[in-house]
Amino acid sequence: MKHGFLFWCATLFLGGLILSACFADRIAPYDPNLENRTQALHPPTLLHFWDEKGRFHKRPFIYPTQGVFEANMTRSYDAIHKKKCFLRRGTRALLGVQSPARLYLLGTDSRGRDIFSRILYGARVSLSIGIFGAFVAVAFGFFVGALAGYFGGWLDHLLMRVAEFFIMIPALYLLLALRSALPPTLDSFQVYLLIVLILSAIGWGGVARVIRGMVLSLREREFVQAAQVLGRKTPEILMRHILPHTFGYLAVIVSISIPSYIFGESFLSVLGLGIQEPAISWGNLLMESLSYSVVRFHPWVLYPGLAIFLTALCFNIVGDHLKASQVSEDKTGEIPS
Amino acid sequence: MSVLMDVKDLVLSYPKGPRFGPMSFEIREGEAFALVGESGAGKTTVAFALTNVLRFKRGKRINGKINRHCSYKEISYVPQDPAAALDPLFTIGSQIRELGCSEVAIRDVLEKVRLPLENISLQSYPHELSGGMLQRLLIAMALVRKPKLLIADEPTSSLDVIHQAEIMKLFRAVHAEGIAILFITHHLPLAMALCSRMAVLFEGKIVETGTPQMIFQTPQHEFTKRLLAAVPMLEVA
Repeated sequence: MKHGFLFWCATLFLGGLILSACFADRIAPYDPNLENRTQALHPPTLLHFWDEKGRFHKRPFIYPTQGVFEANMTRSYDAIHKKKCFLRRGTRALLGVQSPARLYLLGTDSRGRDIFSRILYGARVSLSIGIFGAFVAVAFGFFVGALAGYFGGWLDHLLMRVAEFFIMIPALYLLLALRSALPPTLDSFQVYLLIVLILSAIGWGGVARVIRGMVLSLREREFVQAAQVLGRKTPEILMRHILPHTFGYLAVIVSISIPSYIFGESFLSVLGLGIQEPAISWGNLLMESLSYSVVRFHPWVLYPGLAIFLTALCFNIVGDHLKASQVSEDKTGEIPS
Repeated sequence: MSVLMDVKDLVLSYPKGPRFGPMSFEIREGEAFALVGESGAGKTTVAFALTNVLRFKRGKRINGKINRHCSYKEISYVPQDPAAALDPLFTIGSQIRELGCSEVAIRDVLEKVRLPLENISLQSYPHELSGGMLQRLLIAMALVRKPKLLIADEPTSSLDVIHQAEIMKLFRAVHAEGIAILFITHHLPLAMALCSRMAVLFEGKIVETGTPQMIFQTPQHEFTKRLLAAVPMLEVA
């Protein structure tokens, strides 16, 4: 099956995002924790190609701004003079402008920190929690499902009842219950691992159920029976003859479940139970937007939410296309090479 | 001739499924023994019991005794459907190498089944080979382990008559090397052409045992008579 335009756009976006997260310190204009209180809640800086005289410039430029307090105690930023500051390679990153002008592509938060830089750095944590969590859940779900499906009997009953217990409990309550059952004072890395574990604990049950069904059918296939006659050991049969046949499903489930893990992390962080400052994640960036007045007058603080939305959308598009291509492959009986 | 496998009062059953047996028979060293019966008579289930695959089947019950005088490593199995017996995701080369045999042994055995490496690419996938080639490949894979007993479960059922003749010739050559064969089939003439002893299975029970001549000339059971009567004869209109 040929992948469509949407699939490639989504893949490009995700690829770009992952690369940007990896090289955040080379791309982000500012240190994510660098505060500039004089420019708190600065709106996104507009990039210009045409100057006031209507001349076109190949290299985009900005007009430096200065904060002015309004009568209603809000602050507005006006261009202080019409001096152009061209975009150029910064002192620490690819993007930058000549000091004292500041480049805030997505604006600043209430402490004057660049939201764009923080989103790039936060992507490291949020994306890796999503991807890592999905992999752990899928790997564990495969392990449990494969054992249950292959051996059957009491082991199948036991494992599936445990899986159903985890599926049955509403995910949000389980998330909160698991987090609150664990110590609140942990360092960032411990919290990171803890969130991965908690999210995986919620997600493995569904994977295990489906894998069990697939293994039940696969173990009756003649090539598996042939491997049994040859005296192959069970782990060898599972890894060599059963796992490869579930790859299609696993790839789909990984790409579709990553967004839910990112949501899970954001949910915990917004509530203050997840990644805490000074560590950065998309979830704790959204804490800024909990106040209605901030969102009302400074809507750019919602950009981390937009990053979560676009990432989830792209992962779902990729997952849907993988699923569709797998279904069409099953129908035509094509063998992936 | 010493006994390779001695089956005594074997009963195979599933809780909500069919029940096969009791059945008793023995397979001697170097002999070709046929198990003939209609579809659903329990032939493949018996083969699974002898190769110990039945232990992987859910809810199965095995009663009676199977005395094996050879190890499982000395028993090879040629499955019924050659197209389904190989993993479609892997090349045939990787599946042959999985048997853990030397390249020389693999080359020898492929030559023996008249499937020289010049004719097939080890990089090809199972679906790229014809039914006859796949069946010969599976026989080669069964022989490369140097078995004492080769269990062939309807190895010609999916082949046309010309390929059937080729495969039967191959089995005769294997038998001539002293390898015992348990030939499972529903095709009486094929069993008679290869085997020196045979058992007729009907509704899960062995109803007749003897040499092909005995069974052909003086069939005792009604099913055997029907089976013989059903053998197609060439009639010219």
